[in-house]
Amino acid sequence: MPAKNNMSISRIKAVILQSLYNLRHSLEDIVETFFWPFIDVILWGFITLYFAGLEGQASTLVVFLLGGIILWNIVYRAQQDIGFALLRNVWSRNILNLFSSPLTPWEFMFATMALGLVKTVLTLFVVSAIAFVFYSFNIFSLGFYLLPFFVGLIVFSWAAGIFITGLIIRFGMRIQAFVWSLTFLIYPISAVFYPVSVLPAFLQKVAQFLPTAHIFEGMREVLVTGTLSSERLIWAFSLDIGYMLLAAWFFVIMFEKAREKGKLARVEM
Amino acid sequence: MQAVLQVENLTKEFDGFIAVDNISFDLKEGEILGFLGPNGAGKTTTIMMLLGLIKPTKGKIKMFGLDFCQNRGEILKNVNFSSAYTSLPGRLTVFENLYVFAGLYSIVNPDLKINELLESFELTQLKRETTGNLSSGEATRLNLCKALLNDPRLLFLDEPTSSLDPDIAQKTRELLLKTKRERNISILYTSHNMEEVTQMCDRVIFLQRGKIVASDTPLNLTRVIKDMASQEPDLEEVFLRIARKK
Repeated sequence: MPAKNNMSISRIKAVILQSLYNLRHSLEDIVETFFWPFIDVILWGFITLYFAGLEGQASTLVVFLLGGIILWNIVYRAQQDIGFALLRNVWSRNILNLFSSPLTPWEFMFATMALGLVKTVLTLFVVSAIAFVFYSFNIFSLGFYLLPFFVGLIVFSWAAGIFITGLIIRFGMRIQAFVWSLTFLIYPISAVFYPVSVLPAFLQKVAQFLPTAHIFEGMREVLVTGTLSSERLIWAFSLDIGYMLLAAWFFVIMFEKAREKGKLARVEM
Repeated sequence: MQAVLQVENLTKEFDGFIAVDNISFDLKEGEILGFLGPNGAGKTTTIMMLLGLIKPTKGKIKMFGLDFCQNRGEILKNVNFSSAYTSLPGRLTVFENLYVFAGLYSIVNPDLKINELLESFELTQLKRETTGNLSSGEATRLNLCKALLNDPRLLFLDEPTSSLDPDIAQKTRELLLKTKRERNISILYTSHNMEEVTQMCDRVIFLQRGKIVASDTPLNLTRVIKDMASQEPDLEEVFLRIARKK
């Protein structure tokens, strides 16, 4: 897109407002935001308690698994929010109206990320409260480290969301399933519930290139020792920056390709 | 009259298929230009290029004297679009949808503008109604409200009355003509209803297989294509003769 169009607060606010109005009228959006994270925490909590009871290591296991599920919800929800913001407009045949206005794709993305951040923080508080009430697990026992973990995970989720949005704009609705499934592709190798060392050797190498793996390993390190090696955070943030730049570049290429191929005008197909 | 839109040698090729073939035309201030042609003639592709949604293979587009590629954001503040093939999010109310677009076009005092448009299009009583519950006629009028929110200087209307009953369609046409007169808007208008085009348009362009094959006033075209002695425009006959010509 041509550059001579500065970011406009009014347009960013308008996109945020559209999502908020949608949230107000849409039960499934509320369900998506709070219900599934709630079910995740409850279900995993009880499963953990059961197995931990058999092994006699209740506290460590519960802490690892609940910490994992709470932080994983950040990855999944934040990425999904970006994809859904676009999909809702595609489903309602509003994409042409949106992008024939002065709105730029980056304003749309920025608005979606900003709202996603608020929704993710809210979700974090809700599921943390549930974990505390049901299992006396306090995610805030991670202390100061929770902040870099949160930032590291959400930046990676945004990169994934931007990547998926680029795919949808270029290839249309046949790609929409990625919005639900792409992050699950990295779920098993992100060391959410178990250490990277459990993985086969070649997957351990792949996991080194996932910020999520460094953050979840870091989470367990903090929960056990109360400290964190700065190397993990440096790796996670360096990878985050790299993926964000790659996703932004990919999105620009896909958007331009879609304009060239006429796909933006027929994205619902 | 000054041209608000100038198109020069505009071409769009999709993988070897030429959808729009080297067309040039302009649209003057306060003019309604009919953009006609059979399905697949390249009308919608041209409008999409004029909105920046499709990238031209070659050619130049100027709006308000500015190069469109270089000034897309600034230009689009003064342009709007309505199509029978788009809709606004069904879960939002009429007012909410318009309020969102008022933000996208940075409208000052959006409540006033929205109320004024809702009244013009007889939608005031539906202000709090969910958009998905509107009839197709009401939804079309809502799309037109959206299209007039920013007081555009240039308006692209793609078959705006195709889903309306004759009564509402006539009212909508009258309203568009009134709005055009009051605000001196320039309109690029596509429709398959030749009677409507005759009533609305000062000039028409016929597209066929991506090329402009005729361009004039409805009456002059009728005289050239059908009968030099014609006193009344007959675009239906003109359309059929052009569309069936190999």
